[in-house]
Amino acid sequence: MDFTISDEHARFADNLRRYFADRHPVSEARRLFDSPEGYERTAWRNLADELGAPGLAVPERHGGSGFGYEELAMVFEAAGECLASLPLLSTCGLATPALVESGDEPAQQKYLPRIAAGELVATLALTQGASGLDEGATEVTAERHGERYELSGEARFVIDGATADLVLVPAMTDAGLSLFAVDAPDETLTATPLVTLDLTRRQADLIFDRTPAALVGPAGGAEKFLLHCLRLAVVLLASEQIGGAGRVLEMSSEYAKVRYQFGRPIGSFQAIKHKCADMLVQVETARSAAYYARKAAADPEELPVAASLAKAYCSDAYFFCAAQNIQVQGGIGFTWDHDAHLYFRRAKSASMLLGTASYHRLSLARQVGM
Amino acid sequence: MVENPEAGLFELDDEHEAFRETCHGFVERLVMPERDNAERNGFPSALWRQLGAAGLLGIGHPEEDGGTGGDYLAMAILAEELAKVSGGIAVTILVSSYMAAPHLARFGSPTLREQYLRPVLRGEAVAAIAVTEPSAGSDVAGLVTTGTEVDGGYLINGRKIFITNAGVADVVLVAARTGQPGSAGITMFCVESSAPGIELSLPLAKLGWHASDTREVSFQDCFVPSDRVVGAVDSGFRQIMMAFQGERIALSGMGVGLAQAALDEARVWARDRRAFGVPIGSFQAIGHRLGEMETAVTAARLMTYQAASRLDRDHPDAAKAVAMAKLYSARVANEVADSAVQVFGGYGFMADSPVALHYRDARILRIGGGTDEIQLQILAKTMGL
Ligand SMILES: Cc1cc2nc3c(=O)[nH]c(=O)nc-3n(C[C@H](O)[C@H](O)[C@H](O)COP(=O)(O)OP(=O)(O)OC[C@H]3O[C@@H](n4cnc5c(N)ncnc54)[C@H](O)[C@@H]3O)c2cc1C
Repeated sequence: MDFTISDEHARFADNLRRYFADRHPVSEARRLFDSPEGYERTAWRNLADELGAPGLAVPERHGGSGFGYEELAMVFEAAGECLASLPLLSTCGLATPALVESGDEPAQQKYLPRIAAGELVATLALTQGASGLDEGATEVTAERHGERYELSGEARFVIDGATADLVLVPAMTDAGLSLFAVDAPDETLTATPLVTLDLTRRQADLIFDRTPAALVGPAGGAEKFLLHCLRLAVVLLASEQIGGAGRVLEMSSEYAKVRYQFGRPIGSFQAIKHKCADMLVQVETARSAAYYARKAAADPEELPVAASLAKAYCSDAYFFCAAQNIQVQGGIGFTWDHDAHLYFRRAKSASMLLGTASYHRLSLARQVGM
Repeated sequence: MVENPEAGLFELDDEHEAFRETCHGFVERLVMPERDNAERNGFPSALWRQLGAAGLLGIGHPEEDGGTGGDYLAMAILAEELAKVSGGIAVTILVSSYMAAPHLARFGSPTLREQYLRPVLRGEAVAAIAVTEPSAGSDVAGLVTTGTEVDGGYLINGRKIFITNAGVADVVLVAARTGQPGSAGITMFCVESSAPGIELSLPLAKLGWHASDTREVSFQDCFVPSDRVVGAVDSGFRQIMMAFQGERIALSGMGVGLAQAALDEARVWARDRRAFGVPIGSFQAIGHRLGEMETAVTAARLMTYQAASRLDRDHPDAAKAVAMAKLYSARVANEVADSAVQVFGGYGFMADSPVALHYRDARILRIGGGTDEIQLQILAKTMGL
């Protein structure tokens, strides 16, 4: 595996950073706190028109650019840096891989071009708990009526669950776990938006009550490809985390240089200087894990270890840095108008999504036979 | 064996245990039912008189001023019981009686005590303390708000930030520079919040302590008569440092109470919540985590009580014990609240969940009343470094 960053990727990363800093400064995230959706459709479409971001991991034959998860991960990193309020994790992190990995051509044909064009917001309705994709994670069952299916049950804490146009639902059938597509809104699908600690990414509880759904991929055996797609999502989320962690480190070191107490910059006190250095060590270690996982996304052999490694490191590093940043800022960091708490909230919520650090450590232990 | 009069079982004596019962009963009956409302709409003002009538605002204050007996240890216990409900509610009460009022009690003239301290201890008035400024937080001696002597008093000019209770206080204890730069030129003033020349910002929205009112307070040629000087002119810094001891005991007690409440919630959840067919508490990952939480809370409580007791007895190591207790219990509050959210999983992340409330409220404890780093700096100094 080649760990150097190509010039092309470096340029792409630069462009992304500039784009997000310009279009999605944190003030935008604040502006959207009170909006019911939590993001704007036009911004999502712009991201498709101007950067082609939603189509990066969509095959060319379905309207995407056929790049890969490595490039998509770079988008997540830049978005994480400024807490961009966009349906990235739901649509590109969860739903796109699920469609692609399902191998279901007609479903792909139907949805992927619209995803790539930024016209469709999609999500995967998997209950988001502290334990990631565990056995029996779905409480939704599907009943077959000829060619059609009806879904009943509940999925909790679904990312962008109240606003997605397409809800992909893992559900149990007689044949085993299968994936279904539900076009939302639908009167048999109740979505309850949740008020959570993280104001920059929305979640909802979904209740399916005999909701009409179309099978995506084979009946039964969906665990196999869903597990793979969740690992891809984990890699992307880890990239977002590293973006955020890097940003809070920057906030701390910048402030440490300009804030004076006792007649000197607070960064001249070891208590602060060493804190920044500890953050740097954490960020760089986690960054290595995240970048490795990005590359490993294309390699099904390496992905399981790489994904868990990245999520474990990036969750801890982001949370550590976000908490340290509040400490470095002092009282101002506890106020609403300062951005420190928004990163702190995001760090906490991201650490709990798609499996906590402990879950991924356990998963690593299992993979090495413990 | 020689009896050591200071030795004990490291348990509360009957008197303090009974006082805890009193606090607990009061809190359950009158404070807990107000929690949701207070988190949304601010501190319920009806509570002040109830607190006053129960004697909970006068702990350790002189009886001739309306104090109700008791000591720092009792105050720590009150802080603990209040913070089990909400950090914002707790700090509102504690700032008035145990962070601002002590300036009047210890250094105020009989007139000031009669006029301002007595009503505060009865719950008929609320007090605030305004030391921090935009450019002077940890570095109290660097404050630049001025108190300029004029005929019959002083004119105060400057800006204070992060002032708890500013919007609800009747009286504000203000630190201002009357003399040379540095720690030797600061004086404390007792200022009525309605005095001309005081301006309040809107409440600052915060990560936590939602039930507490925090604002900027600006002074523009605000006249304060000479008899409202608290203590001696130019000795404010020393007074602030002395009052910090009690303030830190209160914050330390708050950390313990917050952590205990988060732990209690987590324990019940671990017992009742099932996954893979068994209560989640039966997994070592959860059971052991609760064990760690219990250990940390107990340690923080013992340190807090020891520090309070040392302060009560003027023990030579009191300041050191106070710094350690403040540092440690703030950290424990954060760790335990974080663990509690983890044990709750997604439910703990919901804004209305009690563990989410404690999680939000914990963070400030490592900043307010002297940051972790300042406590460590005090400790390093006491260690001769
Ligand atoms: C919700 C809230 C309520 C408050 N209520 C009140 C109140 O009622 N009255 C009042 O007067 N104040 C109040 N404060 C202010 C509080 O006491 C200060 O925020 C605190 O003392 C820290 O000061 P600062 O915010 O200016 O941080 P700074 O002093 O700027 O510190 C920034 C960082 O530098 C570190 N640092 C500073 N000096 C050193 C050093 N020498 N060595 C190592 N590290 C150092 C700090 O530890 C911190 O990590 C409140 C604050 C908040 C947030």
